[in-house]
Amino acid sequence: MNRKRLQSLGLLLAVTLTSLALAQQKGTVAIGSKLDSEGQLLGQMMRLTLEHAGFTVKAQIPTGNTFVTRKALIEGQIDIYPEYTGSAINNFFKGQKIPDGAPSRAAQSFAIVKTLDLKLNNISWLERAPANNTFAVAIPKTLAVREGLKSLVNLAAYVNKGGVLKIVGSQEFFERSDAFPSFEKAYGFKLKADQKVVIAGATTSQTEQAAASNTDGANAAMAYGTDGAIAALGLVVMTDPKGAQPVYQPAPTVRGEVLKKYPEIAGLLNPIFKGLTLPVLQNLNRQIDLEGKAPQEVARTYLASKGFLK
Amino acid sequence: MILTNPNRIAILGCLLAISSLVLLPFLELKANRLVAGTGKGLLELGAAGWWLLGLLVLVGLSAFLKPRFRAPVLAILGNLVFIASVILIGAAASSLLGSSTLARVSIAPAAWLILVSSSFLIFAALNDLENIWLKRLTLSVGILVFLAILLTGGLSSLSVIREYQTRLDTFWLEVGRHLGLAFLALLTSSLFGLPLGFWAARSKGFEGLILGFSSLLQTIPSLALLALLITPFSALVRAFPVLESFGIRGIGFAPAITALTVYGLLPIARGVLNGLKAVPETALEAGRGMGMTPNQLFSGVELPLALGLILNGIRTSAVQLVGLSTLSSLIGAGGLGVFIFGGLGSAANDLVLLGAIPVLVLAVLTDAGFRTLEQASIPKGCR
Repeated sequence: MNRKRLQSLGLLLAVTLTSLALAQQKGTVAIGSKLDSEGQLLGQMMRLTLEHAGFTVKAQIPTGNTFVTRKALIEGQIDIYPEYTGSAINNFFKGQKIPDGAPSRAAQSFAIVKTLDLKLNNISWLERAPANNTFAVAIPKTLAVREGLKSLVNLAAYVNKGGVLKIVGSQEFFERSDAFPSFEKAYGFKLKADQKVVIAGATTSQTEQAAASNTDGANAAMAYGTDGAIAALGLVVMTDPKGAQPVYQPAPTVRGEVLKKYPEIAGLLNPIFKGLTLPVLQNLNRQIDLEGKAPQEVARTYLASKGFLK
Repeated sequence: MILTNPNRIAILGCLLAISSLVLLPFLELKANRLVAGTGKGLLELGAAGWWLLGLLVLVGLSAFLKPRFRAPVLAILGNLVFIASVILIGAAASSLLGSSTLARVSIAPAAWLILVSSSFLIFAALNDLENIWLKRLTLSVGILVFLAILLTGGLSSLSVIREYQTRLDTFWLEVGRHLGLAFLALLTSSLFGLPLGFWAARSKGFEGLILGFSSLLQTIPSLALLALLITPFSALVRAFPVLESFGIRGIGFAPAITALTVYGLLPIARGVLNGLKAVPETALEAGRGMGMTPNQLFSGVELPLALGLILNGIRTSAVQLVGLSTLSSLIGAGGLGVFIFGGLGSAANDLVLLGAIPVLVLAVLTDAGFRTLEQASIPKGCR
């Protein structure tokens, strides 16, 4: 009896020690993000989740722009950061053959970046968020109501019958063939040069602000689908029924070696990204951009409310 | 008692303050952090504005007094204008804000200009004052009262303070990182810049080469340099993994310090070169005549005479590096640039200010600190 008890105690001790050792094996993971607030929000969510699961996290949030952050991942300076399917298709796979129309279909573009990145760079894409942070056109609500504009079909008709429109956007937005030009092509309208206000390197917060306050007579703005400030600035987004835009869905990109060593990372992050729908992300972005809360606070409150952090 | 030769700086400050008070908005009320706001003139904000206006007229009149009388009057009134405007900014901001949680109040042009012109008044008083202790008192009263108001929450309704409060846990960390980056880079710049400058002064051939090279380095766009450094540093760490335990990685501190060092080189090397070249030939002749060896000549004659310009170069480099360290945030090394670029990206001007104001303060303090150091370290005979 006594011996048995001793045996079971020994077993318990052994189990405890092994699990302790296993817990310590969790090791270190470096997390980065791009400079924008959504990037920082997603980066902070990953950091909090992995820390909660027992990893030691080296956080470098924000890391830099797309170029710097991606380079840091490729060079192994960071292990994980959130990237968008659309950005990856546009920037990372220059020499590769991408089927026509694929970028504007969510599932197909995700499958393409997932396969290509794993094959070419040994980088894994985990579960994507079901929210599309793509380029869009936002106009003041007053204009939309007055002219009955809901979609880009309506907007094109309005422009073609001579309606006044002046749109603010970044250089990239007007020059990249899959950005504004693809709207013009798909919906059959063409803006004159003096109808475009080009601000090099502008962010959507800046362009939306300009359109909302009618700067330089602007009454339309380059916007992103998940921007949090659109409604608060009194703007509405024109829907894109023809799917002229590539899809930008955010997902964690992980270095293959790290995922192989810690496969549980996928199980930890996937349920979180699955829950990040368009309204959820818009609401979280709104708290950062409009209410001025810090990304890590917004991330922490959200994860706690969903039961991911205890 | 009335003089025909009034204090012109004081009058200029006064006119600037009065005209901006009457013509420009004092504070800006925004429905939320991102939208454009509506400007509010100080005179719309209640009776206090008229008191400030009256005070300014009084200051204008006192500029016509004889220097003996006007110096203390200007010193007191200048500080009063400064303190009164700070209190007004805080009070008006909190009354504008009311109980709204989303609304923000930002400092508008008139408030900035009144603060600037009050510093004109204080400097005008400093010109007229003779006693060094009175000068120091005049200069420090306003700053001390400002700090007291800031620390007791008198300005907490301002948007930039709101930004500070939401980033309380990272703000001082980033200030520390910023200073660390700037001063470590200054150290490495000096390590390379001082010998380079010395070398350039000793040989005509190297002078052009070294100055040309360090000028060339200055022309590389800083962002490009930062991005370019990632690859060699990553390769270095892969080849010698032990480096990683010293905190050297492809992004972050190491490449940032390297880039900053490159930009800090030129002023330091040039300072040494100019300092050594400015040593008069006659002083060297005299030294040689006394039988000094080349080493004695260097440490006893050249170095003391050149020290002023050398320290001047180091100071220039230090102030530049405090500013440039802002860019380190673009390569994951943190610093106050985190707030500046974050604010620019989301078009939140007050977040930009939260980064920019401390950079400005740090630069001014660095400059003042090095000036004091220069004063103290140059031998009496060489000043």
